[in-house]
Amino acid sequence: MTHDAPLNITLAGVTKRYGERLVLDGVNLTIAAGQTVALIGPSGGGKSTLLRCLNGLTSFDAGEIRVGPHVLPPRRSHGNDPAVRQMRRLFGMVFQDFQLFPHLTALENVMEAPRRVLGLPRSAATERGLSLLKRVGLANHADAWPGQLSGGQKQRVAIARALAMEPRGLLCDEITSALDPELKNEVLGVLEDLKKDGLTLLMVTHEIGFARRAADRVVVLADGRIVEEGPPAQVLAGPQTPRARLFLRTVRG
Amino acid sequence: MASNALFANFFVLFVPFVVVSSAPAQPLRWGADAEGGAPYIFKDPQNPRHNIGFEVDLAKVLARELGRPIAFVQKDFKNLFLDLNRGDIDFAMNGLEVTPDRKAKVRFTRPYYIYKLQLVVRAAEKRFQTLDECKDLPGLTLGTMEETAAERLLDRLGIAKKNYDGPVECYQDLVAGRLDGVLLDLPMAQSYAKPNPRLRYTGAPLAEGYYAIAVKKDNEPLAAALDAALDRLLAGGELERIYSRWNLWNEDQEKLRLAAVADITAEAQGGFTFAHYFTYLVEGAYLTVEITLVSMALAILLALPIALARLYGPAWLRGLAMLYVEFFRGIPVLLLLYFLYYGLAGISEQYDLWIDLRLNPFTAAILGFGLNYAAYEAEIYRAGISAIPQGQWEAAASLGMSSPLTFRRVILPQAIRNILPPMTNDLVALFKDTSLVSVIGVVELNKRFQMLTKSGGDWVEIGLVTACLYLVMSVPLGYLSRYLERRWGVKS
Repeated sequence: MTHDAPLNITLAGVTKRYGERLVLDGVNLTIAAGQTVALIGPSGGGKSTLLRCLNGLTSFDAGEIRVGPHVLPPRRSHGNDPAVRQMRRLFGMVFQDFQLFPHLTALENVMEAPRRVLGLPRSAATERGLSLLKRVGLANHADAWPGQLSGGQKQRVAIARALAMEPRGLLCDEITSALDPELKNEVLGVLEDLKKDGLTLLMVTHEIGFARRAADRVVVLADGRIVEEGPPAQVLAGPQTPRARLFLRTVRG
Repeated sequence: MASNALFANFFVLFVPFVVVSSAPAQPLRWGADAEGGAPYIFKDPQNPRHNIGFEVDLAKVLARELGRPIAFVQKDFKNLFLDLNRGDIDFAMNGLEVTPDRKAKVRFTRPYYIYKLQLVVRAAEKRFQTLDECKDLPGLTLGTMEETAAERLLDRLGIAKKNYDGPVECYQDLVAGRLDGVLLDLPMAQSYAKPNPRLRYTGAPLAEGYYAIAVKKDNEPLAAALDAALDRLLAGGELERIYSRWNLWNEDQEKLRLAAVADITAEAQGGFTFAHYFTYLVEGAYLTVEITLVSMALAILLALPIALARLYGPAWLRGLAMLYVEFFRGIPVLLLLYFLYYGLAGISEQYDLWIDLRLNPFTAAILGFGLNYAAYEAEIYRAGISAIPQGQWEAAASLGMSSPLTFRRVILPQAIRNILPPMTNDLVALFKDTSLVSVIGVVELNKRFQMLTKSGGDWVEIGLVTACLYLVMSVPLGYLSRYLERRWGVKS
């Protein structure tokens, strides 16, 4: 994959309301290109919403999101909006519950968007699909149906599918939460490989161990605000704010 | 006749005694069809709860003569003989013509009226004046009623005919230009055609025949009592008074006094051969399949946009789509068929429209079922589509796929698996519903079966063959539906 100039991500005062509830309360955050950022925090704290805003799946009410020269203003979430389209081209997204297309094989899942959105000819799309499946360790499952795959295999197909659009980064929304412990590792292994290739990774996760090992930065989001952020060693070992301390204590058990 | 008279005399003596000893006497059940039945028996325009007609008047005096009340029971004209033999009614009196094959099934009383047939055409008709001229002109179609002497005469003359359930629809279609003429009993023409300035009689009344009361074969006491009562009413001039009141008395009726029962006791004709009726039924089956498939194709074509409008349209379009579904799901398809066939033709007649709304029966049938089933299919599609998780939309969106592309490539292919099993079910239902189209003159499988059995065919044999034809077509569809359900059905 060839990338142009590295693109930094900046969130400036991103605010989101669901009715009365303030889900994101003026979030400011900068992520350098190629960084791996672990987004942690209590459930309902706004982690998933933040990810969905970046991809235009949910609109936000105020603030803006900048990725290099590209700007996503508030109140945009329609697929036909050029700003939203641009964001979706820059980031691939992987979901907790996989959301593979069940009527397509693993390879067809990966080929679908390059074929229909980018207009790649069948041969080129097949080639790209096979090489991506190989990259996630599923070269010999190309013709399997999603229903025949294990959870870990499904999630790796989903990652390959997101990569097929050649994004600058991946947005991962609790992608190991639905998996057994032994299957988590095969998925996290794939992510560590991608990090080495220079992909920007923004992941909502509960895997504190993985965050410590692989993340460049940890961001703690609670009650719609960033309560603490920094290198994993610093944030995870010695949180400074009471809110972060409280959360990390509950996670460790 | 001699034994009948003996019986009758016995009865006349006996009846008053019965009345006295076990009053009130149980009413005799009289079966007839009051729908479009002028001047025989029909709804009083002043009071639709009330029936009037010359046969109503006749029933009144018969009750007096028999010393027993007579209660009217509404029955379908075509099924009167079935109802009689099943015991639902005690006698049928409804302008029933005495024919040889009917005589094989029921006991007719002495005739109470002598009818003739009258050819009616549009006022402007110039091509022909008589039935014979009509026979020599190709491409003409005359309307008549099923199970009547007029129908048999047209068959015998080899004139193309179209059957109707009642005289009203028949004359209506003549006015609408769907028919070239109508051949029916003179009393009907007198009630429905004569008052209409767009229609006129042509040629003299022809093909004289008898109306008689039908009684079950084993109910000889009742038949004999009715014979005797009619004899007395005729002799006493009461029949003449009733018919004159209805403007039905004419010199033909003088012959009633002569009309010997012997005239109407010819032997019944034989049934049909298997080869003869089987091809006739198979043709009907083909028509049934044709209507089913074309209607379903139309329903599917209409249903998808309606379902999409209900799911994704702006508020006003959603409302319209919902209105469509509620309307066509809520009205009986029979009403819809009547409206499309007769209603639209009436509108076409009344107003000078740029478009000809006089649909042929096949088109009306396809439209009726297509519109009706589109409502059901639209709901199935809507449910099938909305059952696909929202996450599938989001996954596709995150890959940069537009909504229409997502719908076409991701949602619809999955929704089809939810949709196909119930849709196959509906196809089987529609297949059987098509038998309704006989009301607008499409002679499909079920109608052919009815016509065969009522013309003397064997109920059981032809019934079994017809049922087999239906099953051969519907059972595989049922299996397909269950197979699809197992393979693809919604897992709940």
